[in-house]
Amino acid sequence: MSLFAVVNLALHALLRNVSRSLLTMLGIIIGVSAVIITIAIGVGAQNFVQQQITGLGSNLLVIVPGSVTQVGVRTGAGGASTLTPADGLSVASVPGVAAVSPIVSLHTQVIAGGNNWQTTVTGVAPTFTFIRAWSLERGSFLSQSDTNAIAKVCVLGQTVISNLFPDGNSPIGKTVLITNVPFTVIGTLSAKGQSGIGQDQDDTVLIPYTSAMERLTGLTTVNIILVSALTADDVPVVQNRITNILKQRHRIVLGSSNDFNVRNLQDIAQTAAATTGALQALLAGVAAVSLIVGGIGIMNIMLVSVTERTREIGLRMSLGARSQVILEQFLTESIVLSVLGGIIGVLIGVIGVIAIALITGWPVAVPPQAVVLAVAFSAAVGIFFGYYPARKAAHLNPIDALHAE
Amino acid sequence: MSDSVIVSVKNLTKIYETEGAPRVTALNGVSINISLGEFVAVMGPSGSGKSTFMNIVGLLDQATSGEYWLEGKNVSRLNADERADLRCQRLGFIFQAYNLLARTSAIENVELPMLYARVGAVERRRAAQAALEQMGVGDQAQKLPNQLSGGQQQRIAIARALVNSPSLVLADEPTGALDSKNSHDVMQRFRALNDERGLTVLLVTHDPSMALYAKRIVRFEDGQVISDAPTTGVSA
Repeated sequence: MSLFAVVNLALHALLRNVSRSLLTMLGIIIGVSAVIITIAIGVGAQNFVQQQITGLGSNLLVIVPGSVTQVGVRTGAGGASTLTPADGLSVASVPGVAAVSPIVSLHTQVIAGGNNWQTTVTGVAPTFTFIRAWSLERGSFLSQSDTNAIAKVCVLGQTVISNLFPDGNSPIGKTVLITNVPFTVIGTLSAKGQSGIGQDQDDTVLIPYTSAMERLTGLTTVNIILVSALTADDVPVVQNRITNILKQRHRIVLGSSNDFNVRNLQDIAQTAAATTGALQALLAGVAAVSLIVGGIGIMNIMLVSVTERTREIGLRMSLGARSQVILEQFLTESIVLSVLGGIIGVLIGVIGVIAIALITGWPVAVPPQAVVLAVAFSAAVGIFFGYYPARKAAHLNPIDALHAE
Repeated sequence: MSDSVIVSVKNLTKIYETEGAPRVTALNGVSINISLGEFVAVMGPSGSGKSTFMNIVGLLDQATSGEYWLEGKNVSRLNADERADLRCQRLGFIFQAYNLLARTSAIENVELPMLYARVGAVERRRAAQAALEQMGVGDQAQKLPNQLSGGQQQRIAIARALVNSPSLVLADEPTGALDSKNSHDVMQRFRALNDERGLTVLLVTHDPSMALYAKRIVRFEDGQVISDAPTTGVSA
């Protein structure tokens, strides 16, 4: 018989008992849709992490102050104010470093005309937009001469613009009071959205770090230093070089702990990926168990079906069906059951993924190879669990089968 | 052996040996020849061996010893696949309980033997329709078995038995589940097929009035043939 005829025959047999066929498929349907949803969420989570990491800036390293111990009390990380713009300058000369920006940030009130707003004012270097992969919307960015001149100029983020200049007019050229120091707006940043931890990145005002230190904080130290390596492969090497240079600069003696930390965002990304990977493996395991249970369900029903249809099998044999043909018929039925279940499972899974995307806004994605894998796996389940009942049918004695009750 | 001999069995025995049960001799040295165009009725009480004989002739079972020649070919020791192919191509079966597939239309039931003979879909449909029409149930082609009377179902079963043009039709109590009117109708159809088309029929029946449609009656008892004679009168 042709493949078409065999599948047709199987469909025919399964359609004779639609509700039972559907219930038999249920295990596979649940298993496959679980696989699809799991993979979609896993891929989505990885995409999300990657987006966040690249959103922070390419090949980013962050130098943060370490903790210090004063009178036996240890501060937390960043407690020490040890990083200076000079540290930044020396780091900039490290081979493999593309750009460096000291960061001075403070939380303060900003005023423009009749509106005021509390926001994060960040002192940065001109390289900041490059490091953070952030583009300007309008105007120009802070220049090196602004930095050298400790200029009273600023660049506004979109959230600040909408709060200080709600009328929609361009804020460029206007004056903004930052802790009562007047700054002239020279540019606006494009919208960047939320950060990985839900922080509104557009709620910021950028000024030269020299201005921030001199005019606002009055300190000679900076909060952190952002470093961009030339390539992603360079990141670990650059990380070591920076650590060594800062050790020398900060005169860290052998055996004592550093008063700074060089953090590699790629490490954080990998940790996040490993976490989602482990979670995904766990869920995939659960899904696999569900598929196997589904397969056992198919085997069970096929065994019942063989028993119920013993007379039919006997009749088919007496009409000239070889045992191989009977085997194919029953095997095809279980494969059709499981593949159909797999396809329905994919559809339900995709609907579930779309629903999750709509409800949570996660960047989920269904990779095509996951769909192929799920359907192929369900077919394999059908073959594996369908073989025993099919073999049982094929090896029936035609006389006994014909006279079965 | 003459070319016109379809079935030739020589000294056929069948012994059932089950552990813990006494040994049963179902057939004990049966020798019969059936020629082309014969209409043979096999009669005998339960346990006489007539069903075993039918199963062996129908290639559903194999004898313990003895020889079986079908159309001049020794088929005593064929494997399961070879027997299946011969059942498909050379034999037609009719059962007491019709044995139509449930929830499968009449025409699809008739197509079944051709499916196993690898006949193409178009030719299958055409031949099945022709066979149904020959049996006077052409207008019932799309009906399901449970929508049809016993007489109609058995006529569809006969169409199914004939559709691969077998050389021998084996009918096992074909009227056992039918009323008198339908029984006679079915037997008349067998007789007509035998008279007009020279179809060779081997019939098993309990009912002497049905056996009278045959041209030769073989009686079994205790696994042996006790009489083998032409029928004297035929009720038309």
